[in-house]
Amino acid sequence: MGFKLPKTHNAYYDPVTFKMTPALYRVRAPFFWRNTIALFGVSLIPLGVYIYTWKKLDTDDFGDIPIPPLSEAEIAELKKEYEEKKKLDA
Amino acid sequence: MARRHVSFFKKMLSLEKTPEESNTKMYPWDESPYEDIRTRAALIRSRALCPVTKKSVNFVCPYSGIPTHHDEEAWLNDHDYHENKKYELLKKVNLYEHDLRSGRKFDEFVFPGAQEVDFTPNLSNWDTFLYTRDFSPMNTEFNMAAASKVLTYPVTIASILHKYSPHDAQPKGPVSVEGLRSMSALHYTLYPPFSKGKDSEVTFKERPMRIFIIGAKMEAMLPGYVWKQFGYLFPETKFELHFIGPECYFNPETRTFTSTDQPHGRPLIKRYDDQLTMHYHTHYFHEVYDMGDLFPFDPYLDVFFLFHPGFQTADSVHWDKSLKGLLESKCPIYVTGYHEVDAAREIAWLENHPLHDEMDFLMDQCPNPFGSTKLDLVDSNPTETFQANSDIFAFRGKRYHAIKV
Repeated sequence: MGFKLPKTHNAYYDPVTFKMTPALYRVRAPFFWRNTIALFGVSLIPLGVYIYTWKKLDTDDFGDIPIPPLSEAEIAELKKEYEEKKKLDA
Repeated sequence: MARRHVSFFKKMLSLEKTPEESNTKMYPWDESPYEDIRTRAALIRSRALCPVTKKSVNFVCPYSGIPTHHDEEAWLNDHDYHENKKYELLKKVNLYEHDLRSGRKFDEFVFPGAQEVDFTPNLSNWDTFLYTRDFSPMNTEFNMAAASKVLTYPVTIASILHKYSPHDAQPKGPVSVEGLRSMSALHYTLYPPFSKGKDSEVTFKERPMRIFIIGAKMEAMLPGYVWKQFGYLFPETKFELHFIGPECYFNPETRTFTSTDQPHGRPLIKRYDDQLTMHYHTHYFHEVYDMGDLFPFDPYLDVFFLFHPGFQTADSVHWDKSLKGLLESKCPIYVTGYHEVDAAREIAWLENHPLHDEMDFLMDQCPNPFGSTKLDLVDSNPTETFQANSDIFAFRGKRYHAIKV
């Protein structure tokens, strides 16, 4: 008792292709432009956040991050190791 | 899924052309396969006058298939007819009449049941109403014409009384301050103020709400389940529908409009269900009013509807007598017309009436969003088309005596 199926308006879709019927197009027509503008406005928010973040990160050279100090000898050794590995891969 | 959304946008922006439906064959009315249409064509020929030559009609318009003019020359000379594309409306009249007789499957008359509490009907126009009430989809104009022809009467009343009425108050809409006053009285009954117990409602709802339909003919023939569609929109209220007028009772046995043969002028009462009862008074309103059975009138519980009354027709004498009673009741009176000119004629009659000082206009004339979409034509003037309940306005007897300052 008490359980009811939600109102689906199934009759307003073509039973085979499940496309909207002309009647449903007429029902939706008055709301079409306002809904489209709302969709545009709402989707601008995440899109704006994404573009802003991308632009902000692109200009960052990470100069403010301290690099741990290494001596010249250590750097030369690491470089050698790296090039040997590269040769092996190739 | 994505493709379906693209096609939705395409169709809405009308980038996609829908193929025009012209597969229905158009018959000239004289050669129609249905006898009553042929009879009607003959009636037009015998009654109507050509709008140009004022002679009898003897020429069938090739665009619409309806006899409209005296001869081809008159037809060609009727600039008004061709410039305003009246033949397109007449063609629709022709197609609608044939469609109603075609014997196709009429899914539009499969009516929905009660409205679920969680879903609100939207009464802004036919499409949203039919969708939110979950009617069968009216995919073609023929479906819409057939459905709106019968539903226009109950739904027009509902659209006036409902709290989500499409008619706005002045200056945005047609409803005047006096109109809001009458409406708030009726809304007090239909939507009683919130109370925890059910007891407090009883104090002012001691009887069902009465809807008087005066000069009823077509609307009185509608079966109860059509009127129940009106009831579903106000599930908490009980209604009495009073059909008043000499042609309000259609006797199915003799197939004529007759009086109900009830003793002492009592109405014939048909009970549809617990919510709706229909009362048929086969007298003129002033006769019923003088009998006094309907007293007392209460603007909180009573409302009048006059569907195309035709104040200026042969019934003018009776309307003249009835108007006094209508105004004395102080209940709102809603009037519809067949088209803009027709409704304006009704207003003109009221404005030129001696009792004009006694009335307030509640609602300016405006197109009724729930008018019938089925076009029809006037037999005596076949180039004039009309639609039932196309325009609506309202008036009421003045609530207080006007005091000159």
